[in-house]
Amino acid sequence: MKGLNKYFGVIYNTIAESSEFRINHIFSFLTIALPLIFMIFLWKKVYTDINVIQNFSLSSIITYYFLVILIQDITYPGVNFEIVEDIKEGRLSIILTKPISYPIYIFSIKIGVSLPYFLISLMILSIFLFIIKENLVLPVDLCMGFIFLLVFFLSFVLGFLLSFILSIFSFWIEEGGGLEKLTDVLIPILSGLILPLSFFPSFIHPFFKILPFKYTLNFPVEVFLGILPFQKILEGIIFQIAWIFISLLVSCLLWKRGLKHYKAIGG
Amino acid sequence: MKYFYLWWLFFISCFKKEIIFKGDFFLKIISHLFWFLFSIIFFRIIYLYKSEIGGWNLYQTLCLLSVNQIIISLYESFFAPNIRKFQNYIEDGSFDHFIIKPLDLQFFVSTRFINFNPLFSLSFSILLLIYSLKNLNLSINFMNILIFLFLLLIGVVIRYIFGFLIMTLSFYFVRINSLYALHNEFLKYSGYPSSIYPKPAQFFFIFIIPVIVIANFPAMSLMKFCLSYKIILYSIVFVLFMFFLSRKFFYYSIKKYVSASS
Repeated sequence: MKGLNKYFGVIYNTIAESSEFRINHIFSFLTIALPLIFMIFLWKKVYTDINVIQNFSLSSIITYYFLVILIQDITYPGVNFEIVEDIKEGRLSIILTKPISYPIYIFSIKIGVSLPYFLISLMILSIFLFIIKENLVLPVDLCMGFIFLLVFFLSFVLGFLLSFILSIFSFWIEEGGGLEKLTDVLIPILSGLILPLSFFPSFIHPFFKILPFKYTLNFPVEVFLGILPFQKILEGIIFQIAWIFISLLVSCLLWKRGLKHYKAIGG
Repeated sequence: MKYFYLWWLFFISCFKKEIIFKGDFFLKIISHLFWFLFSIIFFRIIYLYKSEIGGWNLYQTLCLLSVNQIIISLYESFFAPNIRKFQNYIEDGSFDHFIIKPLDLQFFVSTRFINFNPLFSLSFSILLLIYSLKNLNLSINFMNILIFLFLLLIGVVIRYIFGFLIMTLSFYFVRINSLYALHNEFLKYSGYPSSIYPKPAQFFFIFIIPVIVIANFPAMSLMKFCLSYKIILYSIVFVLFMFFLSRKFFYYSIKKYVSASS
């Protein structure tokens, strides 16, 4: 337990640090959140003469986008530029000489950044609440709320591990940009950022189900909306845990190999 | 005429630079297209469940999306590279280089750099436009195309004016890039059918923030939703008024400029 104290220090410092640069975060969050207006208009029009599409009512779909925008900062499994820069610019060397584990250090930073940003995002999004208040869906009971919190925590861990794996590929890829752009195209679709995955034609569903990306955004939000039967939720949690284990293994393996490959440019 | 010639020189010089850095050419095009791809997939799937959204069918919406993407590509290649640099000019004092030249300042600052990558993705949008028009079975004559191109040009110019207006604010505020990114992301949604908005929102998106004017008007004129000359006249008046306003504001704000270096 004592060994973890230093990481709590990192978390604490990052929270203090990221609370300072609020304006920047507010703008970058608004950049994502403001287009929600277009989404609401569009979906209201789509639902004029239909009540339900693939288990989604108008309220569910609006809450879906609302939540996706709220939690994507936290669980979205994209490339982590902090890691990429640490590796590319050789700053990793400085951290490696310290008696801390880099992956846990980065994880602590992620927690420290996520907490204040989440609160700020929540505050900004509550401006939207008065537009969508009659369309907001909440979990049916306390029990579902707790299940959501569990699923949300798992997706946070999974999202972090996936982005860690994607980012440490930069040990091998010297010319940057390629992988990031590819993931920029694929992950928004596979994770359900663009559209709820159940809207896609059913022949692709098994494919979504096997891949880990669904369990970072689409799955936790669907649990929140309460549109999944209990069996599906259980299944999803099992997939989440399985993927956490797999990505933990893969990231350990890649990390060890990557360090051997590491050249400490500029260091 | 002199300005056309100058612009041509800028074009050549940027093109030469572009050829040197071939690099990850294909990936750059994908990254310029990915927002477009998302909206195509997005609407393609919504239309699995509905045949019409507010009176627009799939091909009409695809036509609108490709018109919007053409506007984005043109703006991103001819104006955005300059407008994005604006902030740096003022921060590091390199704005001096622009002021001392015997040229129209707004012209020089807005046209110096050209990014060719978005132009390559243009072919993709044009193909989609032709495909969706074919499926709509419209008889389009030369006049339609002329009006369409004219309104398209106005769409690009409106995007330019808004970017220019925001960047002029960097004379007053230090960090304006995030506001620019916000407006840029917002205006990308011009590719949504105008009929999804309720009346007050339509009013807002025509007269205040011209989301509908940018892409809906050219697309609607091409698809003959309405060939009303009101649209054309309004677009012209709007763009002239905004251009005049932004130019006045720019020349007024220059007085605030204090060169950064000695």
